[in-house]
Amino acid sequence: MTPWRTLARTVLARPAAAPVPPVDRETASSLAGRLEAGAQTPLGRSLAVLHIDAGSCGGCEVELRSLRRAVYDLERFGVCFVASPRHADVLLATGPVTRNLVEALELAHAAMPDPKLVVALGDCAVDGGVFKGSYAIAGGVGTTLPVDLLISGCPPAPERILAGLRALLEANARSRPGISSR
Amino acid sequence: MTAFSIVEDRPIDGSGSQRQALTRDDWAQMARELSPPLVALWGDTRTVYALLRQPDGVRLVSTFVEDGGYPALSPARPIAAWFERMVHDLWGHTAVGATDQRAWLDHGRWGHSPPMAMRPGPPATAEPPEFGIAEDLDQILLGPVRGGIEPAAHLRLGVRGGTVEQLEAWLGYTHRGVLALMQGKSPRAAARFAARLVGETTVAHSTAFASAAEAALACDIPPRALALRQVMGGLEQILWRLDLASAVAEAADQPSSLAARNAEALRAAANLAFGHRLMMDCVVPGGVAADIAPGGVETIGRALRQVASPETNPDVRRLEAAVMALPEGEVFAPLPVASGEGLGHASGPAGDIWHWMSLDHGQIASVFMCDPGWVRWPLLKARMAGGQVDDLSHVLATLRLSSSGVDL
Ligand code: SF4
Repeated sequence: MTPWRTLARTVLARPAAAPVPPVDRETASSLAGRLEAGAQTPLGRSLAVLHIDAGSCGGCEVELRSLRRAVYDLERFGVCFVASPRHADVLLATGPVTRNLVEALELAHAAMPDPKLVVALGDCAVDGGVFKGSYAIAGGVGTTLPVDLLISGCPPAPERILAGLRALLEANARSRPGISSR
Repeated sequence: MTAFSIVEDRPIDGSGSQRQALTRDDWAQMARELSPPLVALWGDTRTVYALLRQPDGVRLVSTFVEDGGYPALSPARPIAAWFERMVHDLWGHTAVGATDQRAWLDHGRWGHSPPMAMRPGPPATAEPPEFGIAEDLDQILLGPVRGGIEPAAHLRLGVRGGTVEQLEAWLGYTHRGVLALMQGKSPRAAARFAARLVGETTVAHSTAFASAAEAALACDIPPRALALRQVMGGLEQILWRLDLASAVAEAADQPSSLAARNAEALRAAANLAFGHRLMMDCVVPGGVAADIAPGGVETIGRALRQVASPETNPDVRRLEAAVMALPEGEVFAPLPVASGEGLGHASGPAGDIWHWMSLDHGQIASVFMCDPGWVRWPLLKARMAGGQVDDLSHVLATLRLSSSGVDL
């Protein structure tokens, strides 16, 4: 029933699936408040996210923008958006990965520095969603790149995206020696 | 000639008209004339269709493809060029005499080409098209990955000393093959693709699609369903304008928290009242998927009062009145399994949306969905011509172009 249960089935963290603390369906502001508290623990630096539209309808972007805008104020919580793969820790792709975009996706991934984290955002990005079987799609980010985090939903609500990114942030912090998020 | 009716989300003249099947000569004659203006052009395996704007509504004409081609409309109607390239890449029909025959949707990455032809051949060449940027200009290449939270598209700017002299867009990166996926399905099953053509205008596209199905089957929907569609469409319209305000403010590096907060309040209310923040899949052929939730009327009313501002006031008040005055009754009437052809319209936030389908014993034989993106993308070139490179992000923010709507 809780979002956490559904999230748990869909969150995969590459560094040995770090357990994600439960995320209650609270108001955005209290969730944001908790995130802020979390972000004050030493995490090294914030996660730089490169968004790639790999055939999205734009619905996932609506929620991504909701998250970035005032209500959810993402950048205070250690997540910022960048325009170049060379500055990105995280590649966050939406859409079922159209065949026309596969090469651009691979090139962006290749140009990223480590840790090259990959997030598939939305049902389309998870496995092709309703577009499964089309001649024009590869069928999800996992067909093209190693995926660290799957966030399902069509589109996923901002709280859900936030919870996923937080899991990634913590897993990323844990994987760096000498840095702990606890 | 197929019986044909036009159904509008608001009544305008032109209902009860029929598709005119033109001879090759008549089509060629029409192609030479500057009017009526073109709204949309599409095809199927044997036919090409043109939707034309008339003073009193629209007119749909078609002609059979002969020897793999049809007379191009682009010489007299420049807006036809992208449509002609799309028709070529999906069905293989050549627009004879076209102003532009470069690849559009087909980037040479599909297993077969053209994918919707009766007998598709091997993949097309994977070379990008020649861009017509003059050699003495500096070129700026953007995309398809553009950072920010932008739709995939490739832009080429020809620049002299910071001034944009040329701009070309190449799209197709988000082509998902939706028309092929819809074929052979019932309108009910295909509605989820119409709902996912453009997420930000999902209600408007779903409404145009449902209207096309209802027109094809000559069915009316219950008054309460119609009223609920209008409420959802009105919410989407206000949300689009709030998001536009946010995007323009962000492009100027002055994020507006008020617009974002108001949009959030409306999406939360939509979620409570209709079960989805974007109201995706809520409008279906035959009516709406579910009645408004208990307490939904009050929730929507409260959210609308919260977001009311001088600019949005008349719309907000009208919408509030509509929510309060929902007629009683059913919200869905199943559609018969039958054959027919219909056109549906919705005035979406970004402009007119037209959907057309032909049904064969309850299954979609051919379908097309025309997003306002087809007329909005060319505005980018017009707005940037003679402008500064630095203006690009502001112009993009004001246009709010969707790639998926035209990429199909
Ligand atoms: S998951 Fe849904 S909202 Fe996101 S891109 Fe796919 S269809 Fe659109």
